[in-house]
Amino acid sequence: MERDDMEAFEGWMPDVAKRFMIVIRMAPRETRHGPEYLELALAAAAFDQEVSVLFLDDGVDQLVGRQDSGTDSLEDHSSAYGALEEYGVENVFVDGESLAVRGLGAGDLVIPVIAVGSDRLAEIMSRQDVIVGS
Amino acid sequence: MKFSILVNAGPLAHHASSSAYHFCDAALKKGHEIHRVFFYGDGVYNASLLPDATGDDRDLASCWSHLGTDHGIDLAVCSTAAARRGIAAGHLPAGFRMAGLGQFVEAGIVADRLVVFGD
Repeated sequence: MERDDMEAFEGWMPDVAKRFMIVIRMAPRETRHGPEYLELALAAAAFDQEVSVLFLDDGVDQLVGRQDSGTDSLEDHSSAYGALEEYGVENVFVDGESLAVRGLGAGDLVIPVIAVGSDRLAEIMSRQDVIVGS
Repeated sequence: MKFSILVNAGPLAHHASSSAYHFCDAALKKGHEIHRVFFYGDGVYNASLLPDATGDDRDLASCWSHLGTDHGIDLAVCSTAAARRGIAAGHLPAGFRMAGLGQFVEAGIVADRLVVFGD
């Protein structure tokens, strides 16, 4: 979190906790989509909201380590996702089918995740108050 | 109903930003409330002062700006995302302001619905 983010609301803490879900579904290449969505999740967690993160479709590639394709720092931010645990975000979901079609298992990812099927996913999403995704 | 809006796309990339503007315009005309528009990611380019070089498109930054100045809508630009893209606090069009991510969280808490435009 940036320092000014906290200063902007100095002394303010919400008295309600809404359920925020951040959906990351783009690959780590080309854009800052992944890390910037991660920051949304961390911000919501910092303000004591109930935060879930869902990695879907190409988004699961964000969690594959050793993306050793050169020195471009835009590409591999897999290590940044460790911050979710530091901020107490335990509900980190990965779409099981997105993993399967890429030949991946939950054990191939850099952080602990909960792999869920589409039925369960639909149920989890229906319980959210705020969903940020594309 | 009270809405908050998250704009993730720049004015030129695709229609998301333009759709967001028209959504706000329509919602206000129907008597709804827009609590805040939060510009994030490439959405911060909506707050760029660079003029439209072609002149044949509507200047979306001006449209947003009027929404802020004429309707008093809070146009909050994420300061971190803006800094990454070279947009400085002293160079925002009228009606826009810099804000921290806490203001995104507050927008989600206060509104009945947070509507996301762009990825």
